[in-house]
Amino acid sequence: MFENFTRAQVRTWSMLGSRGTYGAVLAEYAKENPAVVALSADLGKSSGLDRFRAAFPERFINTGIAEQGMLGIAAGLAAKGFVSFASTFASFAALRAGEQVHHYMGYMGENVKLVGLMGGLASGTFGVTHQGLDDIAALRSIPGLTILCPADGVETMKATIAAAQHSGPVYLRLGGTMNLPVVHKEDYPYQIGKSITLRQGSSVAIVATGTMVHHALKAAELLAEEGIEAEVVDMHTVKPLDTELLDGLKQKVLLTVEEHSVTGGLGAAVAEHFAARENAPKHVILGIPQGYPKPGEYGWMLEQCGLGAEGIAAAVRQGI
Amino acid sequence: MSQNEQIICCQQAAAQMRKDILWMTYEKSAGGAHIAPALSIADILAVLYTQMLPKPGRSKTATFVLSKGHAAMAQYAALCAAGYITRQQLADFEQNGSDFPSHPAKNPALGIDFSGGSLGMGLPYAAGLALAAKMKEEGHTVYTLLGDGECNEGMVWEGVFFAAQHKLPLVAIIDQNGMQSDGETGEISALDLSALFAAARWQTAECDGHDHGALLDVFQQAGRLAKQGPVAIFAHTVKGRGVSFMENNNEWHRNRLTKEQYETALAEIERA
Repeated sequence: MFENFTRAQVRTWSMLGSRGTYGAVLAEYAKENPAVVALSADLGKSSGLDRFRAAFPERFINTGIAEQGMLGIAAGLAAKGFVSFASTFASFAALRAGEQVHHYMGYMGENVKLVGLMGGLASGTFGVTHQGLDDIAALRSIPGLTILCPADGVETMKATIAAAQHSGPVYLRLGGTMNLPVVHKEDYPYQIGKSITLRQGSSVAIVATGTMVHHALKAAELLAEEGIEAEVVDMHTVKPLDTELLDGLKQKVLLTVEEHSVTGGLGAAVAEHFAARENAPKHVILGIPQGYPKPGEYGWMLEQCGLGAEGIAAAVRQGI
Repeated sequence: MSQNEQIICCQQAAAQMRKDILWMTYEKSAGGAHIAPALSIADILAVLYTQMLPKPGRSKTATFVLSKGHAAMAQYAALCAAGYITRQQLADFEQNGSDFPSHPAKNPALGIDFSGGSLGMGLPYAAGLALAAKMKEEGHTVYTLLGDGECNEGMVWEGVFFAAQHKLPLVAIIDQNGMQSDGETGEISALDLSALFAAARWQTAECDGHDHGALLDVFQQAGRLAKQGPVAIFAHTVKGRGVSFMENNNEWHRNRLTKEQYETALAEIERA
Protein backbone atom coordinates (compact mmCIF):
# COMPACT_ATOMS: atom_id res chain seq x y z
CA MET A 1 0.00 0.00 0.00
CA PHE A 2 1.22 3.50 -0.90
CA GLU A 3 4.08 2.08 -2.97
CA ASN A 4 5.26 4.68 -5.47
CA PHE A 5 3.82 7.54 -3.47
CA THR A 6 3.86 10.85 -5.27
CA ARG A 7 5.39 14.18 -4.31
CA ALA A 8 1.86 15.44 -3.86
CA GLN A 9 1.25 12.73 -1.26
CA VAL A 10 4.44 13.65 0.56
CA ARG A 11 3.19 17.24 0.71
CA THR A 12 -0.26 16.14 1.87
CA TRP A 13 1.11 14.01 4.70
CA SER A 14 3.40 16.85 5.74
CA MET A 15 0.51 19.30 5.71
CA LEU A 16 -1.75 16.96 7.67
CA GLY A 17 0.86 16.33 10.33
CA SER A 18 1.29 13.01 12.09
CA ARG A 19 -2.21 12.50 13.47
CA GLY A 20 -3.96 13.53 10.26
CA THR A 21 -1.66 11.20 8.34
CA TYR A 22 -2.33 8.36 10.80
CA GLY A 23 -6.08 8.80 10.33
CA ALA A 24 -5.91 9.07 6.55
CA VAL A 25 -3.60 6.08 6.21
CA LEU A 26 -5.65 3.93 8.59
CA ALA A 27 -8.81 4.72 6.66
CA GLU A 28 -7.11 3.68 3.42
CA TYR A 29 -5.59 0.54 4.94
CA ALA A 30 -8.91 -0.43 6.46
CA LYS A 31 -10.52 -0.63 3.02
CA GLU A 32 -8.76 -3.90 2.28
CA ASN A 33 -8.30 -5.02 5.87
CA PRO A 34 -11.71 -5.58 7.45
CA ALA A 35 -10.19 -6.68 10.75
CA VAL A 36 -8.92 -3.16 11.50
CA VAL A 37 -10.91 -1.24 14.10
CA ALA A 38 -10.18 2.22 15.49
CA LEU A 39 -10.92 3.06 19.10
CA SER A 40 -10.78 6.48 20.69
CA ALA A 41 -11.41 7.75 24.20
CA ASP A 42 -13.65 10.52 22.89
CA LEU A 43 -10.83 12.13 20.94
CA GLY A 44 -11.92 10.94 17.50
CA LYS A 45 -11.91 14.46 16.11
CA SER A 46 -8.46 15.17 17.59
CA SER A 47 -7.10 11.85 16.38
CA GLY A 48 -7.48 12.50 12.69
CA LEU A 49 -10.12 9.76 12.59
CA ASP A 50 -12.96 11.67 10.96
CA ARG A 51 -12.27 10.02 7.63
CA PHE A 52 -12.17 6.54 9.18
CA ARG A 53 -15.36 7.15 11.10
CA ALA A 54 -17.20 8.39 8.02
CA ALA A 55 -16.04 5.46 5.90
CA PHE A 56 -16.40 2.73 8.52
CA PRO A 57 -18.84 3.87 11.20
CA GLU A 58 -19.34 0.32 12.47
CA ARG A 59 -15.58 -0.08 12.97
CA PHE A 60 -15.02 3.20 14.79
CA ILE A 61 -15.50 2.80 18.52
CA ASN A 62 -15.75 5.73 20.89
CA THR A 63 -15.34 4.26 24.35
CA GLY A 64 -16.13 7.58 26.04
CA ILE A 65 -13.53 9.39 28.17
CA ALA A 66 -12.34 6.09 29.60
CA GLU A 67 -8.76 5.28 28.65
CA GLN A 68 -8.33 2.29 30.93
CA GLY A 69 -11.59 0.79 29.69
CA MET A 70 -10.56 1.54 26.11
CA LEU A 71 -7.44 -0.59 26.50
CA GLY A 72 -9.46 -3.51 27.88
CA ILE A 73 -12.03 -3.27 25.11
CA ALA A 74 -9.30 -3.01 22.47
CA ALA A 75 -7.62 -6.07 23.96
CA GLY A 76 -10.82 -8.13 23.99
CA LEU A 77 -11.45 -7.22 20.35
CA ALA A 78 -7.88 -8.15 19.46
CA ALA A 79 -8.25 -11.50 21.22
CA LYS A 80 -11.08 -12.27 18.80
CA GLY A 81 -9.06 -11.44 15.70
CA PHE A 82 -9.52 -7.71 15.23
CA VAL A 83 -6.51 -5.44 14.73
CA SER A 84 -7.22 -2.81 17.37
CA PHE A 85 -5.84 0.69 16.92
CA ALA A 86 -6.57 2.67 20.09
CA SER A 87 -5.60 6.32 20.27
CA THR A 88 -5.53 9.12 22.79
CA PHE A 89 -3.00 11.74 23.90
CA ALA A 90 0.40 10.25 24.69
CA SER A 91 0.40 11.00 28.39
CA PHE A 92 -3.10 9.52 28.89
CA ALA A 93 -2.14 6.49 26.86
CA ALA A 94 1.02 5.79 28.81
CA LEU A 95 0.21 7.02 32.29
CA ARG A 96 -3.56 6.91 32.84
CA ALA A 97 -3.74 3.54 31.12
CA GLY A 98 -0.20 2.47 32.01
CA GLU A 99 -1.08 -0.67 33.93
CA GLN A 100 -3.54 -1.62 31.22
CA VAL A 101 -0.79 -1.37 28.60
CA HIS A 102 1.37 -3.55 30.84
CA HIS A 103 -1.35 -6.10 31.50
CA TYR A 104 -3.27 -6.44 28.25
CA MET A 105 -0.56 -5.57 25.73
CA GLY A 106 2.52 -6.73 27.63
CA TYR A 107 1.59 -9.67 29.87
CA MET A 108 -1.33 -10.93 27.79
CA GLY A 109 0.37 -9.96 24.50
CA GLU A 110 -2.85 -8.83 22.82
CA ASN A 111 -2.57 -7.38 19.30
CA VAL A 112 -3.34 -3.78 20.22
CA LYS A 113 -1.68 -0.82 18.50
CA LEU A 114 -1.76 2.03 20.99
CA VAL A 115 -1.35 5.40 19.31
CA GLY A 116 -0.06 8.20 21.52
CA LEU A 117 -0.86 11.58 20.01
CA MET A 118 0.82 14.85 20.93
CA GLY A 119 4.03 13.16 22.04
CA GLY A 120 6.41 15.86 23.22
CA LEU A 121 5.58 19.55 23.44
CA ALA A 122 3.24 19.95 20.46
CA SER A 123 0.17 20.75 22.55
CA GLY A 124 1.86 24.01 23.48
CA THR A 125 -0.20 26.16 25.80
CA PHE A 126 -2.35 23.19 26.86
CA GLY A 127 0.49 22.49 29.26
CA VAL A 128 1.88 19.50 31.10
CA THR A 129 -1.30 17.43 31.29
CA HIS A 130 -1.51 17.27 27.51
CA GLN A 131 2.16 16.87 26.78
CA GLY A 132 3.92 13.59 26.27
CA LEU A 133 6.98 14.35 28.38
CA ASP A 134 7.71 10.87 29.67
CA ASP A 135 5.40 8.48 27.84
CA ILE A 136 8.26 6.52 26.30
CA ALA A 137 9.89 6.21 29.72
CA ALA A 138 6.65 4.87 31.19
CA LEU A 139 6.25 2.11 28.60
CA ARG A 140 9.78 1.23 27.55
CA SER A 141 10.34 -1.42 30.18
CA ILE A 142 7.29 -3.46 29.16
CA PRO A 143 8.56 -6.74 27.71
CA GLY A 144 7.26 -7.55 24.25
CA LEU A 145 6.15 -4.01 23.42
CA THR A 146 7.41 -2.41 20.20
CA ILE A 147 7.80 1.39 20.30
CA LEU A 148 7.79 3.42 17.07
CA CYS A 149 8.50 7.16 16.71
CA PRO A 150 8.21 8.21 13.07
CA ALA A 151 10.21 11.22 11.92
CA ASP A 152 7.78 12.77 9.46
CA GLY A 153 4.56 12.30 7.49
CA VAL A 154 5.95 9.66 5.14
CA GLU A 155 7.40 7.70 8.05
CA THR A 156 4.11 8.01 9.94
CA MET A 157 2.45 6.34 6.97
CA LYS A 158 5.02 3.54 7.00
CA ALA A 159 4.92 3.11 10.75
CA THR A 160 1.12 2.90 10.80
CA ILE A 161 1.12 0.16 8.18
CA ALA A 162 4.05 -1.63 9.78
CA ALA A 163 2.24 -1.53 13.12
CA ALA A 164 -0.90 -2.98 11.53
CA GLN A 165 1.08 -5.78 9.94
CA HIS A 166 3.23 -6.52 12.97
CA SER A 167 2.06 -9.46 14.99
CA GLY A 168 2.00 -8.13 18.54
CA PRO A 169 1.47 -5.01 20.63
CA VAL A 170 2.84 -1.67 19.42
CA TYR A 171 3.06 1.82 20.89
CA LEU A 172 3.04 4.29 18.02
CA ARG A 173 4.17 7.66 19.30
CA LEU A 174 3.18 10.61 17.14
CA GLY A 175 4.21 14.22 17.60
CA GLY A 176 4.67 17.57 15.99
CA THR A 177 1.99 19.78 14.48
CA MET A 178 0.48 20.20 11.06
CA ASN A 179 2.99 21.14 8.36
CA LEU A 180 5.41 18.61 9.75
CA PRO A 181 8.81 19.08 8.06
CA VAL A 182 9.67 16.47 5.48
CA VAL A 183 12.60 14.19 6.27
CA HIS A 184 12.00 11.41 3.73
CA LYS A 185 11.28 12.80 0.26
CA GLU A 186 11.74 9.54 -1.59
CA ASP A 187 10.58 6.05 -0.84
CA TYR A 188 12.87 3.87 1.25
CA PRO A 189 12.69 0.47 2.89
CA TYR A 190 11.15 0.77 6.34
CA GLN A 191 11.60 -2.08 8.77
CA ILE A 192 10.75 -2.12 12.45
CA GLY A 193 14.01 -2.16 14.38
CA LYS A 194 16.25 -1.03 11.51
CA SER A 195 17.35 2.57 11.82
CA ILE A 196 18.13 4.73 8.80
CA THR A 197 21.36 6.65 8.39
CA LEU A 198 20.44 9.88 6.65
CA ARG A 199 23.78 11.60 6.66
CA GLN A 200 27.37 10.43 6.99
CA GLY A 201 29.89 12.22 9.17
CA SER A 202 32.91 11.21 11.21
CA SER A 203 33.09 13.93 13.88
CA VAL A 204 29.99 13.00 15.83
CA ALA A 205 26.98 10.67 15.60
CA ILE A 206 23.55 12.18 16.21
CA VAL A 207 20.96 9.47 16.84
CA ALA A 208 17.52 11.08 16.81
CA THR A 209 13.94 9.91 16.94
CA GLY A 210 10.59 11.37 15.94
CA THR A 211 10.37 15.11 15.33
CA MET A 212 14.00 15.60 16.34
CA VAL A 213 15.31 13.85 13.22
CA HIS A 214 14.48 16.92 11.13
CA HIS A 215 16.11 19.24 13.66
CA ALA A 216 19.18 16.99 13.81
CA LEU A 217 19.60 17.29 10.04
CA LYS A 218 19.35 21.07 10.29
CA ALA A 219 21.88 21.06 13.12
CA ALA A 220 24.22 18.97 10.99
CA GLU A 221 24.10 21.67 8.28
CA LEU A 222 25.03 24.33 10.84
CA LEU A 223 27.86 22.21 12.18
CA ALA A 224 29.19 21.48 8.71
CA GLU A 225 29.81 25.23 8.26
CA GLU A 226 32.16 24.93 11.25
CA GLY A 227 33.93 21.90 9.88
CA ILE A 228 32.12 19.46 12.17
CA GLU A 229 30.72 16.58 10.16
CA ALA A 230 27.81 14.86 11.89
CA GLU A 231 26.32 11.49 11.06
CA VAL A 232 22.54 11.65 11.49
CA VAL A 233 20.54 8.51 12.21
CA ASP A 234 16.75 8.18 12.19
CA MET A 235 16.21 5.76 15.07
CA HIS A 236 12.52 5.36 14.38
CA THR A 237 12.19 2.27 16.55
CA VAL A 238 12.99 3.00 20.18
CA LYS A 239 12.18 -0.57 21.18
CA PRO A 240 13.81 -2.75 19.99
CA LEU A 241 16.82 -0.50 19.39
CA ASP A 242 18.99 -1.02 16.33
CA THR A 243 21.94 -2.26 18.35
CA GLU A 244 23.84 -3.31 15.24
CA LEU A 245 24.02 0.30 14.16
CA LEU A 246 25.00 1.45 17.64
CA ASP A 247 27.79 -1.12 17.87
CA GLY A 248 29.06 -0.05 14.46
CA LEU A 249 29.43 3.65 15.33
CA LYS A 250 33.02 4.82 14.92
CA GLN A 251 32.67 8.36 16.24
CA LYS A 252 34.05 9.18 19.69
CA VAL A 253 31.03 11.29 20.58
CA LEU A 254 27.39 10.32 20.34
CA LEU A 255 24.43 12.63 20.90
CA THR A 256 20.95 11.17 21.27
CA VAL A 257 18.08 13.61 20.85
CA GLU A 258 14.35 13.20 21.44
CA GLU A 259 11.31 15.38 22.08
CA HIS A 260 10.90 13.56 25.36
CA SER A 261 12.37 13.66 28.84
CA VAL A 262 16.12 13.12 29.21
CA THR A 263 15.09 10.41 31.66
CA GLY A 264 14.00 7.01 30.46
CA GLY A 265 13.59 7.55 26.72
CA LEU A 266 15.79 6.98 23.69
CA GLY A 267 18.85 8.34 25.48
CA ALA A 268 18.38 5.99 28.39
CA ALA A 269 17.82 3.03 26.09
CA VAL A 270 21.04 3.76 24.21
CA ALA A 271 22.93 4.30 27.48
CA GLU A 272 21.69 0.95 28.75
CA HIS A 273 23.00 -0.70 25.61
CA PHE A 274 26.45 0.86 25.96
CA ALA A 275 26.71 0.38 29.72
CA ALA A 276 28.65 -2.86 29.61
CA ARG A 277 30.54 -2.15 26.43
CA GLU A 278 34.20 -1.26 26.30
CA ASN A 279 35.16 1.57 23.98
CA ALA A 280 31.66 2.99 24.00
CA PRO A 281 31.45 6.54 22.65
CA LYS A 282 31.02 9.48 25.00
CA HIS A 283 27.25 9.80 25.11
CA VAL A 284 25.35 13.08 25.55
CA ILE A 285 21.62 12.77 26.15
CA LEU A 286 19.57 15.68 24.83
CA GLY A 287 15.87 15.95 25.50
CA ILE A 288 13.36 17.79 27.66
CA PRO A 289 15.11 18.56 30.95
CA GLN A 290 13.61 17.36 34.23
CA GLY A 291 10.87 19.78 35.28
CA TYR A 292 7.49 21.07 34.20
CA PRO A 293 8.01 23.48 31.33
CA LYS A 294 5.96 26.65 31.39
CA PRO A 295 3.46 26.40 28.55
CA GLY A 296 3.74 28.52 25.45
CA GLU A 297 3.71 28.21 21.70
CA TYR A 298 5.28 24.95 20.47
CA GLY A 299 8.29 26.53 18.75
CA TRP A 300 9.03 28.68 21.79
CA MET A 301 8.85 25.63 24.07
CA LEU A 302 11.28 23.67 21.91
CA GLU A 303 13.74 26.54 22.17
CA GLN A 304 13.26 26.79 25.94
CA CYS A 305 14.17 23.12 26.20
CA GLY A 306 17.22 23.45 23.96
CA LEU A 307 15.61 21.33 21.27
CA GLY A 308 15.89 22.68 17.75
CA ALA A 309 18.73 22.95 15.29
CA GLU A 310 20.68 25.53 17.29
CA GLY A 311 20.20 23.68 20.58
CA ILE A 312 21.38 20.42 19.07
CA ALA A 313 24.39 22.08 17.46
CA ALA A 314 25.30 23.70 20.76
CA ALA A 315 25.08 20.36 22.55
CA VAL A 316 27.36 18.82 19.93
CA ARG A 317 29.94 21.61 20.25
CA GLN A 318 29.95 21.16 24.00
CA GLY A 319 30.19 17.40 23.75
CA ILE A 320 33.13 17.28 21.41
CA MET B 1 -30.77 -34.27 30.83
CA SER B 2 -33.67 -33.28 33.04
CA GLN B 3 -33.29 -30.33 35.36
CA ASN B 4 -32.98 -32.71 38.32
CA GLU B 5 -30.19 -34.60 36.62
CA GLN B 6 -28.46 -31.34 35.82
CA ILE B 7 -28.68 -30.26 39.45
CA ILE B 8 -27.23 -33.54 40.67
CA CYS B 9 -24.39 -33.15 38.20
CA CYS B 10 -23.72 -29.63 39.53
CA GLN B 11 -23.82 -30.78 43.14
CA GLN B 12 -21.34 -33.55 42.46
CA ALA B 13 -19.06 -31.19 40.57
CA ALA B 14 -19.26 -28.56 43.32
CA ALA B 15 -18.46 -31.09 46.04
CA GLN B 16 -15.46 -32.39 44.11
CA MET B 17 -14.33 -28.83 43.43
CA ARG B 18 -14.45 -27.98 47.13
CA LYS B 19 -12.37 -31.04 47.95
CA ASP B 20 -9.93 -30.09 45.21
CA ILE B 21 -9.65 -26.53 46.53
CA LEU B 22 -8.80 -27.85 49.99
CA TRP B 23 -6.40 -30.42 48.54
CA MET B 24 -4.58 -27.80 46.41
CA THR B 25 -4.23 -25.59 49.47
CA TYR B 26 -3.00 -28.32 51.80
CA GLU B 27 -0.81 -30.36 49.44
CA LYS B 28 0.43 -27.84 46.90
CA SER B 29 0.40 -24.34 48.24
CA ALA B 30 3.49 -23.46 50.23
CA GLY B 31 2.52 -20.02 51.50
CA GLY B 32 -1.22 -20.37 51.89
CA ALA B 33 -3.93 -19.94 49.30
CA HIS B 34 -7.10 -17.88 48.72
CA ILE B 35 -9.38 -20.60 50.04
CA ALA B 36 -12.45 -18.68 51.16
CA PRO B 37 -12.66 -16.58 47.95
CA ALA B 38 -12.53 -19.79 45.92
CA LEU B 39 -15.11 -21.59 48.05
CA SER B 40 -17.59 -18.73 47.72
CA ILE B 41 -17.73 -19.17 43.93
CA ALA B 42 -17.53 -22.98 43.79
CA ASP B 43 -21.24 -23.43 43.10
CA ILE B 44 -21.39 -20.64 40.53
CA LEU B 45 -18.51 -22.16 38.58
CA ALA B 46 -19.82 -25.71 38.97
CA VAL B 47 -23.06 -24.68 37.24
CA LEU B 48 -21.34 -22.48 34.64
CA TYR B 49 -18.71 -24.99 33.63
CA THR B 50 -20.86 -28.12 33.63
CA GLN B 51 -24.04 -26.62 32.14
CA MET B 52 -23.46 -23.32 30.35
CA LEU B 53 -19.97 -23.18 28.86
CA PRO B 54 -18.90 -25.25 25.85
CA LYS B 55 -17.12 -28.52 26.59
CA PRO B 56 -13.53 -29.01 25.39
CA GLY B 57 -13.29 -29.38 21.64
CA ARG B 58 -16.81 -28.11 21.05
CA SER B 59 -17.47 -24.96 19.12
CA LYS B 60 -17.10 -21.92 21.24
CA THR B 61 -20.52 -20.41 21.85
CA ALA B 62 -19.57 -18.74 25.11
CA THR B 63 -16.45 -17.45 26.81
CA PHE B 64 -15.73 -17.04 30.50
CA VAL B 65 -13.49 -14.38 32.04
CA LEU B 66 -12.58 -14.81 35.70
CA SER B 67 -12.09 -11.19 36.69
CA LYS B 68 -11.85 -12.21 40.37
CA GLY B 69 -8.47 -13.77 39.62
CA HIS B 70 -7.42 -14.69 43.14
CA ALA B 71 -10.22 -17.29 43.21
CA ALA B 72 -8.09 -19.26 40.73
CA MET B 73 -8.36 -22.56 42.57
CA ALA B 74 -12.08 -22.60 41.87
CA GLN B 75 -11.45 -22.08 38.16
CA TYR B 76 -8.79 -24.78 38.01
CA ALA B 77 -11.07 -27.20 39.87
CA ALA B 78 -13.94 -26.34 37.50
CA LEU B 79 -11.70 -26.88 34.46
CA CYS B 80 -10.89 -30.32 35.85
CA ALA B 81 -14.57 -31.08 36.47
CA ALA B 82 -15.39 -30.02 32.90
CA GLY B 83 -12.59 -32.07 31.36
CA TYR B 84 -10.34 -29.23 30.23
CA ILE B 85 -7.48 -30.32 32.44
CA THR B 86 -6.44 -33.53 34.18
CA ARG B 87 -5.95 -34.23 37.89
CA GLN B 88 -2.25 -34.39 37.15
CA GLN B 89 -2.34 -30.84 35.86
CA LEU B 90 -4.29 -29.74 38.93
CA ALA B 91 -1.38 -31.08 40.98
CA ASP B 92 0.80 -28.46 39.31
CA PHE B 93 -0.95 -25.70 41.27
CA GLU B 94 1.60 -23.14 42.46
CA GLN B 95 4.50 -25.40 41.53
CA ASN B 96 7.57 -23.57 40.26
CA GLY B 97 7.10 -22.45 36.65
CA SER B 98 3.80 -24.31 36.21
CA ASP B 99 0.82 -23.31 34.08
CA PHE B 100 -1.27 -23.02 37.26
CA PRO B 101 0.00 -20.15 39.38
CA SER B 102 -1.97 -18.42 42.14
CA HIS B 103 -3.58 -16.12 39.56
CA PRO B 104 -4.57 -17.72 36.23
CA ALA B 105 -2.48 -16.93 33.15
CA LYS B 106 -4.24 -16.90 29.76
CA ASN B 107 -3.82 -20.27 28.06
CA PRO B 108 -6.61 -21.10 25.63
CA ALA B 109 -5.37 -24.67 25.19
CA LEU B 110 -6.16 -25.24 28.88
CA GLY B 111 -9.47 -23.40 28.70
CA ILE B 112 -8.15 -20.31 30.46
CA ASP B 113 -9.18 -17.24 28.48
CA PHE B 114 -7.90 -14.45 30.69
CA SER B 115 -4.90 -13.53 32.85
CA GLY B 116 -6.32 -12.56 36.23
CA GLY B 117 -4.88 -11.10 39.39
CA SER B 118 -5.27 -7.38 38.87
CA LEU B 119 -8.81 -6.64 39.99
CA GLY B 120 -10.94 -4.70 37.55
CA MET B 121 -9.10 -5.82 34.44
CA GLY B 122 -11.58 -8.54 33.52
CA LEU B 123 -14.75 -6.54 32.93
CA PRO B 124 -13.60 -4.22 30.12
CA TYR B 125 -11.81 -7.12 28.46
CA ALA B 126 -14.99 -9.18 28.63
CA ALA B 127 -16.83 -6.19 27.12
CA GLY B 128 -14.30 -6.20 24.26
CA LEU B 129 -14.89 -9.91 23.69
CA ALA B 130 -18.63 -9.31 23.74
CA LEU B 131 -18.33 -6.43 21.27
CA ALA B 132 -16.31 -8.68 18.97
CA ALA B 133 -19.00 -11.34 19.22
CA LYS B 134 -21.70 -8.79 18.41
CA MET B 135 -19.76 -7.37 15.46
CA LYS B 136 -19.19 -10.85 14.07
CA GLU B 137 -22.83 -11.77 14.69
CA GLU B 138 -21.82 -15.05 16.26
CA GLY B 139 -24.64 -15.34 18.76
CA HIS B 140 -21.87 -15.78 21.31
CA THR B 141 -22.32 -14.81 24.99
CA VAL B 142 -19.52 -13.67 27.26
CA TYR B 143 -19.66 -14.44 30.97
CA THR B 144 -17.49 -12.77 33.55
CA LEU B 145 -17.31 -13.11 37.31
CA LEU B 146 -16.37 -10.27 39.65
CA GLY B 147 -16.09 -9.93 43.38
CA ASP B 148 -18.24 -7.33 45.13
CA GLY B 149 -15.11 -5.68 46.57
CA GLU B 150 -13.69 -5.70 43.05
CA CYS B 151 -16.48 -3.30 42.08
CA ASN B 152 -14.60 -0.60 44.00
CA GLU B 153 -12.31 -0.37 40.96
CA GLY B 154 -13.10 2.52 38.60
CA MET B 155 -12.22 0.66 35.46
CA VAL B 156 -15.00 -1.84 36.16
CA TRP B 157 -17.49 0.99 35.65
CA GLU B 158 -15.82 2.15 32.44
CA GLY B 159 -16.58 -1.29 31.08
CA VAL B 160 -20.07 -1.32 32.60
CA PHE B 161 -21.07 1.97 30.97
CA PHE B 162 -19.65 0.87 27.63
CA ALA B 163 -21.42 -2.50 27.69
CA ALA B 164 -24.78 -0.84 28.29
CA GLN B 165 -24.25 1.78 25.61
CA HIS B 166 -23.54 -0.88 23.03
CA LYS B 167 -26.06 -3.43 24.32
CA LEU B 168 -23.42 -6.11 24.52
CA PRO B 169 -24.11 -9.85 24.99
CA LEU B 170 -22.36 -9.85 28.35
CA VAL B 171 -23.37 -11.54 31.59
CA ALA B 172 -21.55 -10.33 34.69
CA ILE B 173 -21.91 -12.46 37.79
CA ILE B 174 -21.12 -10.62 40.99
CA ASP B 175 -20.01 -12.86 43.83
CA GLN B 176 -21.75 -10.90 46.53
CA ASN B 177 -20.29 -12.34 49.74
CA GLY B 178 -20.16 -9.00 51.57
CA MET B 179 -16.45 -9.24 52.27
CA GLN B 180 -13.18 -8.09 50.85
CA SER B 181 -9.56 -8.47 51.92
CA ASP B 182 -9.54 -6.05 54.87
CA GLY B 183 -13.07 -6.70 56.11
CA GLU B 184 -16.75 -6.28 55.33
CA THR B 185 -17.66 -4.43 52.16
CA GLY B 186 -20.25 -2.46 54.12
CA GLU B 187 -17.55 -1.03 56.35
CA ILE B 188 -15.18 -0.18 53.54
CA SER B 189 -17.42 0.91 50.72
CA ALA B 190 -21.12 0.17 51.12
CA LEU B 191 -22.46 0.04 47.58
CA ASP B 192 -25.93 -0.85 46.43
CA LEU B 193 -24.47 -2.70 43.45
CA SER B 194 -27.79 -3.82 42.07
CA ALA B 195 -29.04 -0.22 41.95
CA LEU B 196 -25.77 0.98 40.42
CA PHE B 197 -25.89 -1.57 37.62
CA ALA B 198 -29.57 -0.85 37.01
CA ALA B 199 -28.82 2.88 36.87
CA ALA B 200 -26.13 2.06 34.32
CA ARG B 201 -28.92 0.50 32.23
CA TRP B 202 -28.04 -3.14 32.76
CA GLN B 203 -30.69 -5.79 33.25
CA THR B 204 -30.29 -7.26 36.73
CA ALA B 205 -31.20 -10.46 38.53
CA GLU B 206 -30.53 -11.88 42.00
CA CYS B 207 -30.17 -15.40 43.26
CA ASP B 208 -28.82 -17.58 46.03
CA GLY B 209 -25.25 -18.21 44.89
CA HIS B 210 -25.18 -21.66 46.45
CA ASP B 211 -28.47 -23.03 45.08
CA HIS B 212 -27.67 -24.93 41.90
CA GLY B 213 -31.26 -24.98 40.67
CA ALA B 214 -31.60 -21.23 41.16
CA LEU B 215 -28.24 -20.61 39.50
CA LEU B 216 -29.19 -22.75 36.54
CA ASP B 217 -32.48 -20.90 36.11
CA VAL B 218 -30.90 -17.46 36.33
CA PHE B 219 -28.04 -18.34 33.97
CA GLN B 220 -30.43 -19.69 31.36
CA GLN B 221 -32.60 -16.61 31.67
CA ALA B 222 -29.56 -14.34 31.51
CA GLY B 223 -28.30 -16.09 28.40
CA ARG B 224 -31.56 -15.19 26.66
CA LEU B 225 -31.72 -11.63 28.02
CA ALA B 226 -28.12 -10.98 27.01
CA LYS B 227 -29.21 -10.98 23.40
CA GLN B 228 -30.74 -7.58 24.12
CA GLY B 229 -27.99 -6.18 26.29
CA PRO B 230 -25.80 -6.82 29.32
CA VAL B 231 -27.09 -8.63 32.39
CA ALA B 232 -25.75 -8.46 35.95
CA ILE B 233 -26.48 -11.39 38.23
CA PHE B 234 -26.07 -10.75 41.94
CA ALA B 235 -25.26 -14.10 43.46
CA HIS B 236 -25.62 -13.93 47.21
CA THR B 237 -22.80 -16.03 48.56
CA VAL B 238 -20.93 -16.79 51.73
CA LYS B 239 -17.18 -16.34 51.74
CA GLY B 240 -15.69 -19.70 52.71
CA ARG B 241 -18.93 -21.57 52.06
CA GLY B 242 -18.76 -25.29 52.70
CA VAL B 243 -16.39 -25.26 55.64
CA SER B 244 -18.02 -24.13 58.85
CA PHE B 245 -14.95 -22.55 60.46
CA MET B 246 -14.19 -20.58 57.31
CA GLU B 247 -17.61 -19.11 56.59
CA ASN B 248 -17.61 -15.31 56.92
CA ASN B 249 -14.25 -15.54 58.66
CA ASN B 250 -11.79 -13.23 56.99
CA GLU B 251 -8.86 -15.17 58.47
CA TRP B 252 -9.48 -17.45 55.52
CA HIS B 253 -9.17 -14.84 52.76
CA ARG B 254 -5.72 -16.32 52.32
CA ASN B 255 -4.31 -18.98 54.61
CA ARG B 256 -2.62 -22.32 55.08
CA LEU B 257 -4.32 -25.46 56.42
CA THR B 258 -3.03 -27.67 59.19
CA LYS B 259 -3.54 -31.41 58.82
CA GLU B 260 -6.30 -31.30 61.37
CA GLN B 261 -8.09 -28.41 59.70
CA TYR B 262 -7.76 -30.12 56.32
CA GLU B 263 -9.27 -33.35 57.57
CA THR B 264 -12.08 -31.60 59.40
CA ALA B 265 -12.91 -29.53 56.33
CA LEU B 266 -12.86 -32.54 54.00
CA ALA B 267 -15.14 -34.46 56.34
CA GLU B 268 -17.65 -31.60 56.31
CA ILE B 269 -17.72 -31.55 52.51
CA GLU B 270 -18.18 -35.29 52.37
CA ARG B 271 -21.00 -35.24 54.86
CA ALA B 272 -22.88 -32.42 53.10
